[in-house]
Amino acid sequence: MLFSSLIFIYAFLPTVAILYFIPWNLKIKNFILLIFSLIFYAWGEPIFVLIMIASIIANWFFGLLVDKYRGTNKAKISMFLACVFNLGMLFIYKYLGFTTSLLSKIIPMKIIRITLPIGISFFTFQAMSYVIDVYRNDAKVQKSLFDVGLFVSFFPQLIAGPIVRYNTIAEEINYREHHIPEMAAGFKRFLVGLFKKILLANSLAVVADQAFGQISTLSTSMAWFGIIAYSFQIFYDFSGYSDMAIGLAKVFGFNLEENFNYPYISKSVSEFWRRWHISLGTWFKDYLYFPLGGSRVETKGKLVRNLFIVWFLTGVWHGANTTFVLWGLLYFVILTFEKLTGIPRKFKNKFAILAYRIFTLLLVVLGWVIFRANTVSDAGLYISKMFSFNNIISDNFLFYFHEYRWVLLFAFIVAVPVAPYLKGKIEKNTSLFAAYSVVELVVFIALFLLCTAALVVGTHNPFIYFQF
Amino acid sequence: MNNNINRVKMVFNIALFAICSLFIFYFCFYNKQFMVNLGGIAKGVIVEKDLNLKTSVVDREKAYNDNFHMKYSFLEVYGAYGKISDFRKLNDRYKLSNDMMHGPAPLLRKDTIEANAEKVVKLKKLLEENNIPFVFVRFPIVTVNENVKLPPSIDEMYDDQALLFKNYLINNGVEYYDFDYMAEKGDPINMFFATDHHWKPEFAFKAYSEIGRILTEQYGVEIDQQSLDINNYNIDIIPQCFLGSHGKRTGQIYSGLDDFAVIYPKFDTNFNVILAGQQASGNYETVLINRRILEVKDKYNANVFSTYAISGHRSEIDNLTTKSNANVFLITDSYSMPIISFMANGVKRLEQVDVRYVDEDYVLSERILEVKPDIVVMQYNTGNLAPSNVFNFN
Repeated sequence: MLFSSLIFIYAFLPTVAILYFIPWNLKIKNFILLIFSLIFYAWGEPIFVLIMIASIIANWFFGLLVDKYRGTNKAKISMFLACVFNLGMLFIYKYLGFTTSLLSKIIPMKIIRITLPIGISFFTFQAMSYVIDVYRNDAKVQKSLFDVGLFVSFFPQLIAGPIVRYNTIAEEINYREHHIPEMAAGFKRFLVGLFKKILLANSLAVVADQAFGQISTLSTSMAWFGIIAYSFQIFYDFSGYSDMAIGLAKVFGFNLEENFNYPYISKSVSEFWRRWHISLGTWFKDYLYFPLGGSRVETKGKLVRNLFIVWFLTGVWHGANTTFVLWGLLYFVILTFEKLTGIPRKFKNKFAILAYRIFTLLLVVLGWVIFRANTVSDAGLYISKMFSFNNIISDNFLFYFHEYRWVLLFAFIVAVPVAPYLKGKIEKNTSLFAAYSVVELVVFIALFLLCTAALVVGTHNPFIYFQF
Repeated sequence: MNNNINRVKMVFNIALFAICSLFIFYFCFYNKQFMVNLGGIAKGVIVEKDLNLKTSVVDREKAYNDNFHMKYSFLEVYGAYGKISDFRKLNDRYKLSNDMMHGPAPLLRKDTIEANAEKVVKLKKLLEENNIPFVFVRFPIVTVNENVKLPPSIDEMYDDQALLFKNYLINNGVEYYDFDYMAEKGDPINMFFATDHHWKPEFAFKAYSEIGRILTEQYGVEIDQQSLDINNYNIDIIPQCFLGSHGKRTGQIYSGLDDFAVIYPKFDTNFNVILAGQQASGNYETVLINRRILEVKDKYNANVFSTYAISGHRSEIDNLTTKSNANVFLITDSYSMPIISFMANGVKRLEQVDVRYVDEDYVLSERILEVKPDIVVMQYNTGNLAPSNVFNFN
């Protein structure tokens, strides 16, 4: 089920809310959340809920084993088996088809095609984090199968993150409070995500789809416009989903960690990855990069090895396609360069800092070309169109620019921290802030109606990160 | 200061939460269909052992969306947003250079067009063997007009499809009449609706006059000449009453509304008709025009174009007053609805069918041979050369 759907907003959510807030007992509340989370997941692809249930049961069991044999080799073996189980499941559903298609080019064999369960990368990583956290003693084992089930399947963040590590919400599963101001703030955050998704991401998706749907005939202007639109689309699609997830979780008393922090204002690629998909970066750092030794290793060779493993896997995590691998490796190269040279931290000159900031943005945008293209050769062709300058301005570009110029402008304004800055200024004057709040209230209600209208009309409504 | 700010924030957050919650719960409980849908899914799975749950869920969510409370009010909200934003494309519909609306042409393969054309050729050959003349008339769509332009990025395939279709028919000996020339020049708003894909009844009358002239001069079909002259008719213009198929997708704030002309004869008429399965007798205004559709307040669900010929699905009309002895069989799409009414004034007997709406046991060729008309006229608009259901003759 999509957050940005009529059935979620006007049927599922109020139904869960009513049933959730009737009982006082937290265990019953948790049980209701679990049941509705399973329904939420099953809505799009009913059969795959069985895979998630299998994952919940297996990881709950591995958690118990790790705890039972704590301090012995058996605990390590249990944790290892949990990783094998989770990664094995991920491999079968996400990478087996890709692997067999690669192998079939070398040896004659049948290509296996398996439908990808929605959000499998997210819930698998979450489930793994539970067992690993228990093994490391970062969190207490959860005896209740239902509570592990709730952690893995909690519907606000189930399908597209943020990837919640177990120790983040372990305590809140059994001890949390509900206060109307927090719920109201959470709901407001949900609305912000909904606006980002429906009004910005969905609109810009039309431009991006148009550009990537006709690469061979692209003009230079349309190629740039298409990838700029996609850069905003993927940001608002994913950060919008994260806002909705964080907001909804807050309504139900959970505090999830932030997933985005104005990534497009980054001064370096390293900084970009501290601001983009923070929960994935943190996951890889905590569960892979640091265990490998991180940057505190004896030789530069080991540092490069560690970075390679992390960024290769980051690419692969996003999908079974050579484009994602290439995209991951692009970041490996740049991040290695930044780590080894200390650039741009060494820069003192303002122009050099500005130039590197522009370089960072350009690199991220080019990275999105590789990420969005269906094949590596499509990506190459697209990039060549961006720099060909043969057919600079096309009718296609003029039409789509006319259609989406305001959306693009808003997308730009929202992507930089202008609003928090202005709000900070306004907050210095209480009466001015009250007037601002009235306007904000009206605008939020109007935008909520507009989002509902967009859903009723049935506008283009894809979620990019569902595929991961 | 900070406490005050925090209090203001909290109050407005709670106000927003309360207002939106009321809104959500209102629509939640108003859309009872959701509960019915959930019940249906549960019944399907538990009682009927229908394990194709995915299809069931998808269908029911679609039904939920389609029946959303105040759907058309939300459509208007979105249309207003489109108008304010100056969108040229909204909900898969375009605004042409003169602000008339247009739908996209499906991208279709050559073999689909030729397969459709071949069915026409086969029908023509069968009729030829039975000495029944057959002609094909293609009606224009708005984009043929030189004064309108598609948005720059839109490639339309209609012209290519029409040419392919025409060549196939002509090469196989079908008498083919292309009416594009009638719409190429002049102001398109006088010919086509701004919110709909059909032509206006006034322009359809011109096409009828042209068909009447062709049938008389080329095929010797005796058409009552008074029926061909617009001066023998009254025209009532009903202002701002028609939201066409394009407008129904974008809302009237975005698309506007069209006027609708009711054209009816000044001369006396009397008919026996079977229209949409209903038998009736009376004059033109009683049996061939349905003005009640024009009074329907729900513009989103009213099919104003079917004011003429009631539905245009299947008609059998006997003209009891005309001097003509002509017996004409029309194979039509919805474009022809006004023409059915007009032509009924000019021939002794008119039978018409839109093959998309007949029963499964209806066989077009058998019916034509049974009726033995003087001529069969197949008249489709350019937008209907590609779908296969309009060529389903068996």
